[in-house]
Order: sequence, then C-alpha cells, then structure tokens
Amino acid sequence: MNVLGWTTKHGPWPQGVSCGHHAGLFVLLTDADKGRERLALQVQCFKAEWDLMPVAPTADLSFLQAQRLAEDVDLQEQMRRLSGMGQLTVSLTKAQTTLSKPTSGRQWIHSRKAQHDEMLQDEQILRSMVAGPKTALSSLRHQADAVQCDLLIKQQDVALTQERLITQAAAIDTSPNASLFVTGPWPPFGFAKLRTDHAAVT
Amino acid sequence: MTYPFEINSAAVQDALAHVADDNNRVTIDPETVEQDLARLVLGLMEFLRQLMELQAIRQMDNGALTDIQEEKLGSTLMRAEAAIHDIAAKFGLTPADLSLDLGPLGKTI
Repeated sequence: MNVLGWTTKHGPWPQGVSCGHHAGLFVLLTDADKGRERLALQVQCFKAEWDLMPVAPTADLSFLQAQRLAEDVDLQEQMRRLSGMGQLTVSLTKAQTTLSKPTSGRQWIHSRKAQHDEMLQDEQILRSMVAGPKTALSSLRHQADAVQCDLLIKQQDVALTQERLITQAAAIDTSPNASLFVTGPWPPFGFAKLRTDHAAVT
Repeated sequence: MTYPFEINSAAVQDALAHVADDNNRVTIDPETVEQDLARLVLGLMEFLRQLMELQAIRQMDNGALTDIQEEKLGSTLMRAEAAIHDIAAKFGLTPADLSLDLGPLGKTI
C-alpha cells in the first residue's frame, strides 16, 4: 500500500482509502498504483476535511518508508503548518504567436532574446499578481506558453484570495493574448516539505 | 465591470500533470532501453545547449558581442538545436520529451 499523506482527522475517507496511525497522526493509504488515481483520492480526502499533508502521488511511499521518514522529519510541525490550508495554482498563459522562421543566426538569437525578455516580464507580472500580505508562494515554474506558481491559503481565505487575484489581474496591463488561470483549492503539494537525506517524496 | 470567467480544463490538466505525471521520471526499461538512453543523453545535451543560449543572451545584454559574433553564435546554437531535435525524432522523441525531471531540483528545460 502507498501513502497518500497524513492528517489529524479520523475520516470517514472515500472508498479506496484506508487509515493507519503513526507519529501521532493518521496516515492515509491506498492500493491505487497510478499517480492520477492517487491524486484523485487525495483531492477527495482534502475536500472532505481540508486537513491533508500530501505526498507526491507518484512517490510510491510505503507505510514502512513513511515510518522511517517520521524519524527525520518533524511531521507534527509540518501538519500544524498545513492543517486547514490548501493551495491555489496560478498560471499566466500566453497564446503562442507564429513567428517567421529566422533566416540568419543573428535573427535567431535575437528572437530567442525577445522570448527570454518576455518570459522575465511574465514572471514579474505573475509575482505582482500573487503578492499579498502573509502569502506563502512556491517557486515559479515555466512551461512553453505559461509561467505558474502555487499559493498556500487558509480555507476561510479562498474567496478573498480569488477576489484579490481578480482585482490585481484587472489592474495589471498585460497583452491581449494573456490569460490568468486559477486552479484549486487543492492539497498543498507545493508546501509539504518531506525531503530527507535519503529520499525525496514531494 | 465584468470579467470573462470560464472553466478551462486544459489549465486544470496542466496543474494536475505537474504533480501526477507518471512519465516525468527518467527510467530505463529493458523493452525501450535505446529510447530511454537517448532521452537521457539528448536531454543533457539540450540542457547544455540552453545554458549556452542563456550565456549568449547575457553577453548580448552586456553589449559584449559584435554583429559577426552574434551571427556565429546564433547559427551554431540554432543548428545545434535542430540537430538535437532531428536525432530525438529518430528515437521517437519530441522536444518536450527532452525535459528531464531532477526531482527536488526541478526540470532541466
């Protein structure tokens, strides 16, 4: 069985999830072997109680490994930090524009420089959109057409945070082909610090 | 003022894929060993090429390159990228497949 995460609540948990106990916390376990199936269960558990310190769905962390992990990581302290918290994933996406094929090396390197400058500008825009008092942020991630990050928020702050994002997005001047997507709230994957010297599980 | 809200399933899928993509890790499978090794080697080559590209952009920002040097560097990096992508295609790999997940260090590309 693989570990989905830790919680302070006893459940009830969705079908396919069983519950163990160690380090003063409940451990949620599943037989599901696909990352996507485990993720779906984690989201269900999270929605039920807003009390889940998740491991990465693809981590394949066994109950035994989780017990060893508790020797190196202060799970209780982590749980206190994440209980009642979820994450919003905020993504600034730009529609890909079709560029003419560069005909020279100089033209090519200048087009790459323009893309690079645009990426830095997008990072700046995203940072200013998500910045707020007492907001914990993950590091920025880049995709071909997007830059994104995660925000750690309290359950009671979801509506307020979404409203703040809308206001800030409206106030910031972006190009017309830019869109802001907010996904969540969902388990705080980006904020569970479960790494040890032996293994990385998030 | 109104805002155009909609559920964008692609954005949700991207966010889900970030934590649940089973194909992100570098694995060597006996059935696909050639492709897996090619992915690893070409991924590292593309990573190094991108580092050189960033270094070239930094030099351009500092005004350290002449037009001729920009042309030479640009041509070299452009052809190197095309060559890496061509070899990758021969192993059935797309440019996106060359992004290697280094766990807590993030992705190479």
